[in-house]
Amino acid sequence: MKKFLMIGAAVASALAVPAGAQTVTGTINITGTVTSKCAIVGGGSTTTFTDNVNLGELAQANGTLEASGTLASRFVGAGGSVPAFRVVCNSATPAVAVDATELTTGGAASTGYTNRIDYVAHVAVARAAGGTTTVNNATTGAATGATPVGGAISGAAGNNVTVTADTFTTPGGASTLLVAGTYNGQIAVTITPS
Amino acid sequence: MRMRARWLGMVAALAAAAPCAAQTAYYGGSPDRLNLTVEVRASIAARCGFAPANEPGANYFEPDFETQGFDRVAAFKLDCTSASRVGVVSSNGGLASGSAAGPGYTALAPYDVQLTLSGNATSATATCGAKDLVPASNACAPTYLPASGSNFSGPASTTKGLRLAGPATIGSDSTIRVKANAYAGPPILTAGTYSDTLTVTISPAT
Repeated sequence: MKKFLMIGAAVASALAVPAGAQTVTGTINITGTVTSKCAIVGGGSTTTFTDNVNLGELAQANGTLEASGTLASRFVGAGGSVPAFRVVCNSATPAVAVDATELTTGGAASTGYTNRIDYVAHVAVARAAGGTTTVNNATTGAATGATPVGGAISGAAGNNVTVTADTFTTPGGASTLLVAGTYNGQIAVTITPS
Repeated sequence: MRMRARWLGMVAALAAAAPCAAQTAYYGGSPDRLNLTVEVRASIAARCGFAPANEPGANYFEPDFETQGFDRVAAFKLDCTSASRVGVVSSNGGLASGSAAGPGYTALAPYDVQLTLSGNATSATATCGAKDLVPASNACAPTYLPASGSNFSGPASTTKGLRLAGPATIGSDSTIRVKANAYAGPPILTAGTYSDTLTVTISPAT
């Protein structure tokens, strides 16, 4: 009789064990970060971009500065196209700073002459939301500070930063004669993620 | 006398329960015992789960994963007395930041999941992209690792998930590997914190 009772108890026990009593779920959590950054797409470097613009003869036949409109056209046409670059920034608040320096031969010019040509540089940045933000800097003034683009830079294919220049002038007015020589200037553009 | 009465009572009860030809046993008589056959039928359901303290579980933090990539392996143990299936669900289908991304940008980074099951005498492996491990997906196209096996998106059921053909009770290590190379793009990953959760489930298999 005891045997019967023990068998019965064992059977009942086996039937009572729930098949799902074991752990059947596990979790793996993965977290990572992407830091804010900007990079150049294409070209030889991911952090700097460079283009060279040759404006050709800067003076007219009478020795004074060529018409500003003519030089502005040469600037965007020199090399076949306007200087443009593709910059990507993964932050929502990138900023642009521009520091343009005058065209000059260096050294001092004699009285009645000049070896300096000023201009205004324009850096236009395409926004992801559409439109562009343009940051201007005249060589007669200080460099701009970091100027917010006003949204993410366009991530669409193609160039999204364009550089132009206009308003070419000489100190002392349009009648000032330009010193002969090679003139060099620079437009430095700094784009930061925020 | 009391013992005989109890014995006869029990015999009578058994005889009443059995429709076969009645036979009586008497204490000290002949026959003095009966041979009774009691058929006991029972079933024990297949045991299937993760071995205690060896469930899939890990927390990985991967700073700058878009430049560094990552490659992590989490081990766990199965405890199944029969064939089993293991399914994995990615909560985001990749590493997601949850922020909006404009044209040319993305807030979802791909990574791959490689599941390897080890049983007593069998094993199984498959590699899919996290993007494939969402409910209702049947695709299996990893981004970085070579493709192998078929979709093992969960939750696991008797017919869904990577199938291990035999029992797994000896404590062999099964693994789940997550891997991404440096992110190449395009589109561009927006800055921020990215995350995903893989939920691993197991079920007996048919």
